[in-house]
Amino acid sequence: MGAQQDEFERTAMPHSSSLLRVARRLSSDAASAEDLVQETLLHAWRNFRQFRSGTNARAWLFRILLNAVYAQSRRQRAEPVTLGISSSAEERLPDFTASGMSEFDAADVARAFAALPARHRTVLLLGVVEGFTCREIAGILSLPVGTVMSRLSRARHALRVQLSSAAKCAGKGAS
Amino acid sequence: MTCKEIAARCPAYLSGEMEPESARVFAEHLRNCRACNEEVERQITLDSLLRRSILSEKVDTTALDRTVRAHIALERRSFSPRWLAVAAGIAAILLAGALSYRAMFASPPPKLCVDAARDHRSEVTLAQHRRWLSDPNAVADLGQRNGIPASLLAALVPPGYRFEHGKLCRLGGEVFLHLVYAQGGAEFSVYLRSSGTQSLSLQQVQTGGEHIAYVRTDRYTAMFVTDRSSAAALSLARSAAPALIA
Repeated sequence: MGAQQDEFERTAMPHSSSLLRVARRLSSDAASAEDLVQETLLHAWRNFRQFRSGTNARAWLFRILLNAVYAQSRRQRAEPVTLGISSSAEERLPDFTASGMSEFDAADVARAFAALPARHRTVLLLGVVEGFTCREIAGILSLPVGTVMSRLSRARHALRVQLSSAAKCAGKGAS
Repeated sequence: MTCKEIAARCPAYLSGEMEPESARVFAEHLRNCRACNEEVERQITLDSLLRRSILSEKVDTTALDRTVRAHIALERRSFSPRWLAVAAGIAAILLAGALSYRAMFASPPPKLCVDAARDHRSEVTLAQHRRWLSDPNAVADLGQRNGIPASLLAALVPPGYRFEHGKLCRLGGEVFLHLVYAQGGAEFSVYLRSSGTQSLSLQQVQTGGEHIAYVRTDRYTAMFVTDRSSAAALSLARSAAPALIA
């Protein structure tokens, strides 16, 4: 194994599970998600000479992944689908308390999350699950930091609205 | 800070990106404003629920990592002078008489070969697929419908091997007929499709534990995949080649 491949193994390959986790939530099926991550890592390998050692490899990889996701979406001509109730910013927020919200289980949250538009899922995955800062997300998505912050707020809002729909069905989350 | 500013700047507060002085003012507002405090608590709880939900999903990248490494190894090898020398040597041997027809080396699409290797590993080596056709007539019928005559299928069986089963599969966006032949405990795969290319080319590829001989004729694309050795893959391809160019 050459020095460059050694470096790639240390720098990029440990992130494959994070990339796959995010890809699964943004693509239509498990096989497409694997293809996206494979494409991401191979693109990273082919362009590894351009990567500056010491800079944020995770953010670089996620940027490649998100570009691949957008390209796939364009190829499939599939617009993100919003299921369930509206997630518009004007919708009144459910008045859950923090302790009431903890009644939701992982499956409730996963269902509510899956019903969000792709742009909301993307910022929540990057910011909340993967722990990127707003500034890093702005770099990954090529957006202004202010746009990322407002998109994160709207995404959190939309997730709560979706959860309120589940709560009405299951009688959960009441304060 | 007003309540509206608190709402707008909450994402930066939650991600810890706020300047110390702004964070102090933000926290002070929360201490004095019950509504904002409860709202931020709800957001923290929601974030925690979402993290728990997504991170509880099991993510296994073993196969994916192996495929990526195989691609990288292939790409490295395709640029390696040593590999080129080996390829040139194999070409010379083939052209000298191992095959009695026009042969030339051309790069097969590496992804196609890697896809074939991955498919062989999961469906034959690991037996993860159960819906095979084991009736030779049904497989011959499937082949006919995909431009592959039954006579070719019969001619592909190398001496000492028997037909096990077959089915259609998709590799690189194209439909291939996947045939499995066995000899004792050893199995190999042939991936076959009608094609419209103009010449014969043959190349060996190794990826992970699989050895592949890739053959392209004026009518077919075929990949012979085995776990045994490169020589075994080449031998299988050589044995089938006359039928493929007939």
